[in-house]
Amino acid sequence: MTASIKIDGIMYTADTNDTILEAARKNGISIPSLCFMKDCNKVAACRMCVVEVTGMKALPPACVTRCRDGMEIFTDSPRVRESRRMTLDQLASHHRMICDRCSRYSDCEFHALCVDYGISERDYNPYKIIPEKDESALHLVRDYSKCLSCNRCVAACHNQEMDILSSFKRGWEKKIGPAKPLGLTDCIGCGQCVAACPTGALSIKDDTAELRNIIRQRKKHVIAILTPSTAKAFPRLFYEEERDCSGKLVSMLKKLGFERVYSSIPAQNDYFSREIAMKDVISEACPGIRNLIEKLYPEKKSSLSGLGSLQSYSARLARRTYSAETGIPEDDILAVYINSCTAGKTENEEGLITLTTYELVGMFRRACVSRFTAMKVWREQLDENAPFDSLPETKAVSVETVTGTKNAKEALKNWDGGYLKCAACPGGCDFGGGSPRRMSPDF
Amino acid sequence: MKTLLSLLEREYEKNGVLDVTALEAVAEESGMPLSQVAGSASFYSKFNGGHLGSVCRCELADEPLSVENRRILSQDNGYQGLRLAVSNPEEILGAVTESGLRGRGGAGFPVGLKWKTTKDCTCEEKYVVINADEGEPDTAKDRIIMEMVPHAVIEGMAICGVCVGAKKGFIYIRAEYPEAKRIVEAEIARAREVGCLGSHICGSHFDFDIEVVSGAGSYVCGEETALLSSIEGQRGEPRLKPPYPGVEGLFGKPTVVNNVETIANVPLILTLGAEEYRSVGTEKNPGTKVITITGAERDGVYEIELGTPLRTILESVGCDFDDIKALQIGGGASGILIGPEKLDATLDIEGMQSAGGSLGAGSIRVIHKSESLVSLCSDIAKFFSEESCGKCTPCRFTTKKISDLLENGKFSLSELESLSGYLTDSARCAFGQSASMALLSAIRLCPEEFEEV
Repeated sequence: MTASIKIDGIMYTADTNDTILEAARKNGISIPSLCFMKDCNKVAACRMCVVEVTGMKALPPACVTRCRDGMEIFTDSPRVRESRRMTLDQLASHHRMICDRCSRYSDCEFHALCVDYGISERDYNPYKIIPEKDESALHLVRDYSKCLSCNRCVAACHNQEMDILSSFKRGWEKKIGPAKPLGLTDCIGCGQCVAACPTGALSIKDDTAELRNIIRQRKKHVIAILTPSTAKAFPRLFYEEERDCSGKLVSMLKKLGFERVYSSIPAQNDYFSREIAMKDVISEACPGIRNLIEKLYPEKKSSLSGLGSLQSYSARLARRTYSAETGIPEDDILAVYINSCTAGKTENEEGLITLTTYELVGMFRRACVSRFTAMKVWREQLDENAPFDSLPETKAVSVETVTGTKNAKEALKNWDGGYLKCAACPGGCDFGGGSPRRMSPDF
Repeated sequence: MKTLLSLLEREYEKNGVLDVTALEAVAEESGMPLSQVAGSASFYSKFNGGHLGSVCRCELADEPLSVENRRILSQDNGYQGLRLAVSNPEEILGAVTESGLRGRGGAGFPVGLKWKTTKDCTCEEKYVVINADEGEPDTAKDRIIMEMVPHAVIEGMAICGVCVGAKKGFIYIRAEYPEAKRIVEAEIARAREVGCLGSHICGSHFDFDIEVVSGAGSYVCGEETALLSSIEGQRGEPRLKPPYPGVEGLFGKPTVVNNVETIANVPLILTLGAEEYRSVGTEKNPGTKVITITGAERDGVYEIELGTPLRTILESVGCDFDDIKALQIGGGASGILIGPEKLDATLDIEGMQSAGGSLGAGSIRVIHKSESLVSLCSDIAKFFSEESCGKCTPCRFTTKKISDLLENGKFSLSELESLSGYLTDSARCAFGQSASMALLSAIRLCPEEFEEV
């Protein structure tokens, strides 16, 4: 049913199934939100999206309040602004504001809102916040002192049917996390929680410092394997439209000190054609799925293809190729596999570093001093068509993939032979936990 | 089926603490994820140091009031109402609606309407849930009802079950009331023996049985949707409404959630008939109300006729009218303070509203002139900061901030007002919205006490 509503004095037609937030955003009116995640987290907990509706006593949250005919909504009245300002002030008072040292410095949603609403450091009335970090996992770091209790990570984990995260205690002592240190839980490392976090409370375990040291001190010969998921995600940060930027990425990576940059596609084709040729196997390509099988379906472990994950396979192939080409011993070569995967970090293999797209963005920024110079370098100076170095050519193969852990669990339960390939992240590798943060307003 | 709370309690009783091994065992047994089990366990104060909430020690007053009209508290245990109900199941709803009974938990929602919503749902599985999580300080009426007339509660539930088509009921009793729980459980066993619970109740084709769920020390679980979450084994956090429990309640099924006192009225309506039931009370507020009075000479639990003026009630319990600073009506935490000039207001929903308060759980606390409103509000603020579920930002942090400010005595009136206003405006549920009611009303009554402390 349609409803006519008035937002900030202007009439609009909305669907009665739409929430105020949806109706407003459809019409280009911005309402800030923190905890809201489309189709995933609708808990109305953060209270950033509160609006004023004529006739309603309290301020309803736009994310869960449905449009009604004749509704008169104010999205930015003094009362609304004051309430949002108070919300940010309360959150800031319990948030360890060490922005300059935070992994989310450049794209923190919370910081951006604080700036918008004029919450400056002077105004905080901070409680003594004790730094508390969980670094037990290989792929991510949980920093409790930066958590806003928005519940997005819990929802993302629940969406994967993993339910590793939950809320604990209550009141102002409430915190969100796993039931025991993350490294000891059944977490498979998909990193969807990291991608969902609006602040630096969940961050990818940063391998860039180590990598930079190796490059700078010439400890090893460093080569890169670039995946399509990174090549696709990267341009979104610099251009409005989708475009192929792999050429630029190759020349930029070489600028950072990578001696060779290989495309992952030949290795990938080789890998899958070998797996398909085997009889009744479950693909081992996705490290998240391998973790899932090891932790929750140990009886299926013997059905894995045994090739190792796709990244370690590609790294071995690339190191061998480079070694054959230059005569450098394989032990002196470090392969850096670049994609949007956080689960890859749980492998901890000698001679291989997994770097996420998110980390690579940070590396570029730091290498080029600031975001602006990085943008300039990216846009103007780099070779648009720098070629990949080549791995042995193989025939292209296409395989159907079950994506998302929820679906993968179902497929694993029902599997009775044949070839099964699953990816832990919903939508596949392009939507891995290490992709650049999705800053779209619907997120 | 065992509720998560009962499993946690069993493990807790074994070791006096819930460690990861115990939680893992519970997770295995219940089939719930470990994070949910551990998250729920950490929510309740009973499993975290064992500190439970306060209990109002008021007992049923020996001497009846001059206005006393004991009906609820003098019912016999013959289950006559239930027998009438099963012989004429189609007439139950009409009688309840006609009686004009309104919820006694605080909101005053018409009971007939609530039942109709659930009755009209086509879903096979429905539930009746009774809220006996009487967490408001200074209230004891639900405990007294359960201890004195447990059969009325059970009978009311069975009648409700027959009416709406539910086969299963739960009574959620707060952890602080072990004696009431024991009495109710004994009465349930007796009712099963005499054929008033179980299959084919009172020889009819209806089935209905009741399970007692014990809370574990959380005030917010008294909010109906939080209570449902708690029974399901989730953290006791209030849910968003809509959907209302009447349509989508316990385990997602249509559920009638009623207060202990409300349901204890139901057998009366059936035995007396709606018209006779309405002969007591007012047009809009028929029947009696069980109230708790504290701060007077003869404190205790009384049953009065709805619509009785406060002055009449207080006169008969012995109250020095010259020594009243304020009256807190509706509960020791969320109750609003009204000034002594409002003594002529009547004790019913509309009467209390027009006096600027709310009937709430129906308790009256007399605050004497020597008492400090700042320290009273400080105690209340501390209570809320400890009991907040922590889900939404305003309640999680603002209750703590107000409590700290009042406790340290370093605050300005405008700061308190803006924090309280923010909480009322933006909190996610009735708990948060009412957390600063007492403070705001105290500031209105005696602003001078809050200036320059």
